[in-house]
Amino acid sequence: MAGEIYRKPIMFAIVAALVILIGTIATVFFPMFTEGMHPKLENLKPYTALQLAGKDIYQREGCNNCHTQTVRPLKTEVMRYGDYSKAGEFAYDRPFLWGSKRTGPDLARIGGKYPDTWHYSHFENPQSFFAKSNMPKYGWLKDAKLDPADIEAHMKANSFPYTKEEIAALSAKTELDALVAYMQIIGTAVQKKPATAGGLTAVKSEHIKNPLEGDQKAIAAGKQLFETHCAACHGSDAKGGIGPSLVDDEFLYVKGDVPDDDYFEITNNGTHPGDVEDGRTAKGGMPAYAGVLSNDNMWSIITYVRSLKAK
Amino acid sequence: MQSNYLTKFFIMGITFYGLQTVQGPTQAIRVVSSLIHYTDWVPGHVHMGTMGWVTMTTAASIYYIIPKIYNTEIYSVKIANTHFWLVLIGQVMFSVTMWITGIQQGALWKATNADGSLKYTFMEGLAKNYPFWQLRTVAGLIFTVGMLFFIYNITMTMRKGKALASSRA
Repeated sequence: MAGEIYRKPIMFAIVAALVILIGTIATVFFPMFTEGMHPKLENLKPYTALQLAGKDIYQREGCNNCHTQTVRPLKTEVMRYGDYSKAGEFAYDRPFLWGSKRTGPDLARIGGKYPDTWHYSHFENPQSFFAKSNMPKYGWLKDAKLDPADIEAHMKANSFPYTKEEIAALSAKTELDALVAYMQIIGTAVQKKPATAGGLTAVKSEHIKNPLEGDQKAIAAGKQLFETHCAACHGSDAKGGIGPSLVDDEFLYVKGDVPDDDYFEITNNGTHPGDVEDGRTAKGGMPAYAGVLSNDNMWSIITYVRSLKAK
Repeated sequence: MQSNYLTKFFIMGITFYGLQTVQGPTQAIRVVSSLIHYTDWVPGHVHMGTMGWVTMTTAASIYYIIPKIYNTEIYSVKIANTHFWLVLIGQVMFSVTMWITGIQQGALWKATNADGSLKYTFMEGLAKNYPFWQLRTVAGLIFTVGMLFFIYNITMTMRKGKALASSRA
């Protein structure tokens, strides 16, 4: 009889539990072992020993308490940091270090944004780059040596491939070297898109005239913008530092000047190793300012730099 | 509430609990989340629970149970009242400053110029938080002083109880 089971409470409980269990296995456990639940980007590589050591230091120092590693798919966030985070870029992050609070900026796209020298100087003294920064100084990491045996154990635990030479080489490295190596690999599995953010016009291949050329107001505005955005790397006199001099006769390591729109293009898109601009090859290290600075502001900075050069 | 000093601890505690459980799911709404996620709003929300609901109800429970254990009355209702007001002011100030900071951060991160480019650098946004963070420190200090009153009151109650017990023996 159909209603029979309702009169047998124990039998009913067992049958109900079985049904729920089958449902759970089918909808939760079974998908867990399918490939689709473990997405991995095509060019995502396991961490090298040095990078993993850096990741461990990042975790030890609690960097993830103040820095997130997730760019949300929101327009202004993609403009500020870069492409939004993908599920497939965290396959080797055990544990992931997404963070939950941005006291400092997001770091999901920090890899390759600045040259190594930028990171070394910035860790040593963040306030020399951003006067009002509240980031602690981490220069002391350069006095701490890495422990190769410990890192080898971590590589094994993660089953990442490594060579004996790679481990041996670690004894010559400091914790700061490892942390910088980690910084430079974060988010690099996601292909960088040419930066044409938020309705800004992409720069065309034919030369465009600087619309603010020689404008005195633009020079004054450009000077202020230069001090906020550029001076930390190019020097407050634009004679170079971490980045090259902007007032000498060289552009992208080749003698001879280039028109203003090439300056614009590099400010807008940033440089990546191997980019070719007017027949000159970039080494990378210039961050993209598309979306961060308006077109007018970029032209103002270029006008200001030109006015320095004229002197 | 006038006849029993403990009632207001429980009533405020439950009120903060209620407010927090309303606030929590609201934060999951996409528009709200896009503004306040990753900002100081979230710690502000959490501290309403820890400093408001949990601390208030725990303190009231201890106020209730310690005199029972030591078979005496509370050392001072006046100190308990001072404790209540300091903790309440400290907590509300703490949460409210964090909420303001959070909304400000979220708004500055999202702000754009007419041409679509970002209006503020991350650093400009950060520098605007500093005054609020100083206020938060003051709020935390007020709260801590309140808790010192609590510890003193409980210690004195325990002493009073022990003295009574030995005089009875």
